[in-house]
Amino acid sequence: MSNPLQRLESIDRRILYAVLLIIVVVGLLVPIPLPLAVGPQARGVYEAIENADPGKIVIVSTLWSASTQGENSPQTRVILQHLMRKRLRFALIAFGDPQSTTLAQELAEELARENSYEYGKDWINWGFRADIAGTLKGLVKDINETIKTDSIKKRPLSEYPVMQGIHNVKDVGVIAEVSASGNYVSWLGLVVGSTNAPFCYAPTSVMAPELYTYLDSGQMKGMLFGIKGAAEYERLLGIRGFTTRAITPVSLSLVLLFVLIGLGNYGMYAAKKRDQKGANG
Amino acid sequence: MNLQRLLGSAFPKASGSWIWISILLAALGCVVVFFALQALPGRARKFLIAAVTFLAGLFYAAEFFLPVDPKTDENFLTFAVPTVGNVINVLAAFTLGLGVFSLVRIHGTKVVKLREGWENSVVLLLGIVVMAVAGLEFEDTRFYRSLFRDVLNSFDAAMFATLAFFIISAAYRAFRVKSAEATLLMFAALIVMLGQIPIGQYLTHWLPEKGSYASLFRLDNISNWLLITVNAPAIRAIGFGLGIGGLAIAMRLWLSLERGAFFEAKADN
Amino acid sequence: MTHASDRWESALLVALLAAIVLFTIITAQRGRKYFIRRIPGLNAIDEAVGRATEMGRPILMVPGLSGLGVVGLQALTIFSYIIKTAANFGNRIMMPVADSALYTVAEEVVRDSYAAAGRPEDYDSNSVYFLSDRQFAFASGVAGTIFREKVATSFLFGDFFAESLIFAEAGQSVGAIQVAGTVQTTQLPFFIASCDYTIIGDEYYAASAYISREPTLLGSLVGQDYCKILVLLVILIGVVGMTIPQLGKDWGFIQWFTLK
Repeated sequence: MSNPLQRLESIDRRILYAVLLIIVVVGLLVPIPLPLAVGPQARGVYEAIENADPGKIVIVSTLWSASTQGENSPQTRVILQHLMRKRLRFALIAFGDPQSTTLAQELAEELARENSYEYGKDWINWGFRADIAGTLKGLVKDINETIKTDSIKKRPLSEYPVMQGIHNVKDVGVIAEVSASGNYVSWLGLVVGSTNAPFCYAPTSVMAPELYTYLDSGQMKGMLFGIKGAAEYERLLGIRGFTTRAITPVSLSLVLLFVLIGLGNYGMYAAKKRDQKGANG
Repeated sequence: MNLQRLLGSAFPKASGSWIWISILLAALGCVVVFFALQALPGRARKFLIAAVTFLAGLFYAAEFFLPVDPKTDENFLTFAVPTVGNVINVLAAFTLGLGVFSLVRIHGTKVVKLREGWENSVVLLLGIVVMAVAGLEFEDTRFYRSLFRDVLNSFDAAMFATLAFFIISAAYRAFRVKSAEATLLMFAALIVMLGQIPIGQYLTHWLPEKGSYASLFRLDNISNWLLITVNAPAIRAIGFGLGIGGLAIAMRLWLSLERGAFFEAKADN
Repeated sequence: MTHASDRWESALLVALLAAIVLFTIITAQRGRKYFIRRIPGLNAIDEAVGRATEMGRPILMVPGLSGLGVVGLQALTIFSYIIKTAANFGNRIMMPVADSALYTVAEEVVRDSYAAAGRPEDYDSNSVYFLSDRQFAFASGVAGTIFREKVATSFLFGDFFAESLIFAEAGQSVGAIQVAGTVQTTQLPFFIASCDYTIIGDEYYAASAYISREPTLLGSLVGQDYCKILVLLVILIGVVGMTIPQLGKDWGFIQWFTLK
């Protein structure tokens, strides 16, 4: 019969889940104020927006749905907050999932009210586009012809003051995509080579390791690494919002993981020792 | 552009009742093609499938490789890209109908024969009907928004959130010091994870962020180094392999060289 | 890059790679013998099918969220082999599909595989079914199937995203033997952690050659390796070319290696 130490090798998964649940809830209720270092990736996004030409428009592309809103929503929020703080014009565009345009628009409307941003004058929603490649190719040539009307009032883009002087992707200051998918390949392949606008990406944490290749090559100027990236951005903006709070449960969950890995290995070691003893004795 | 004009005059834009006549003629044409294909002997059908596959692939290859007019960035095939895209979308829409039919057939049979779990099938079928009716007829109502935001969004978010639990149990099982490689992998993973969170960063926060050799030992810097210098080249290498593998299989499918594959097996029947 | 003329050197490289693959396919078809190494994950397929036979429980095959493209069709090619093996042992199979276009082809593949195994009467039209094209609706449907049916073996081949771990952990918790392969590199760690065997990177595309030993596929696989050697050479020339200007010399061809 195995002793309690050996049982650490195979703790029932339900116990693991229960402990994790408790830790996440406690972490959300009692945030631990710890300093968060800002990495070069988040700083890259920040500097791209900070140095954007005010005469140009910023494209905020979204490709996420309710499932990944835990990470993608704070990322979209901090980018929009920065744009509004800098009083930069921006356009929302959505791909992949029709939910994407609704969720991003709700965020933009909420922040626009707080920052006195006027629809049509300071920002615009180009809406959801099913054909990613066709749309991106079109943006390179002629934005008005490709998008035609906005998604809220369904009026021609050329009627809006926010679109004055904006013809194609060369009139874009920054391209930022918040995404739960690998859509960066389309942007890099079809758009980024045709403009000087820096391209920034805000993926979910799972996807982030894949993007270091493009950060390293300079094709991407910055990246927000999941919710941690959003928290770093909040720090750069000097905000202590929900994202900064949410970093506590993330940290505690990983600490739990370290503890469990340690216990699992100790249990394995104990079992091996017992087996050796058994073989010798 | 001549090809565009030629096609434009051969198939002028239909309007009024001509739209319906065109649709009817297209549907009839499809029926004729369907029966003609059924009547063809295996060898001829195989040749036809290979020819259509080749021509469809050739369109995109030719559009990509043929020189373009520098002013418009288009060649004589570019105008047709959206149309071909629409054709593909229409085909996909038809297959969605087949997919829904499969779902309804399997679950409908389950309900009718009261097989085990038929109650779940009733909920599924009701869900399909209610969501479809709400989306088609009541899109601007609170009812639809509630279904969309309160039900669908919550379910989606809940499923994604379960990943946190699964990651814990998977990592707990996987990170065991069983060999030198596994140990190396485990420590690399621990450093990367520690470098991503404030608690980990706090351990070495007293070291300078940059500008000195001591900064190299900060956990966030080591984590970044691992991600950029170790992880990125590995992903790039896998990416090269995948890209070439994808190109090879695409070539085989395009030229119908995929022996023993389903299309050929079907044609031989 | 929308046309070859945007960057002709890249287009030329793609054309050259395609030509190499075609050349090795032709030489293999003309009788040249090629050797390929063993891939443990693919060797495990027979063992996994055998396990399902012993347990009398179904085999699950999931092509992930793959559409009707290169990745999805490759998944079906692998599944076709598994079905032929399973048909010989009389195993029950299940294949939930998320893409309706792939579903129509998958149905044909399963039926033809049973016919090829000489057991057309064993084909069950309910074994291949469309679930949902929404990622997490599909994930919950597949996880539900795994738990209800207590599948003995789970084959996960295709395009997988965040749902990969849901499938793999569900399979793990019912004690299924699991073999997985995907082209999505970000999902590989999850499969490695939860599955018994994982096929990594371009092994995914090598699978059909390995399983069938068909000369065309073997030739293609060896062609891919030659292509990789060529890419390595290009990288090497690029590294040398980018280093030399640092030493004070400026060579024109370096422009080919700079990103536009």
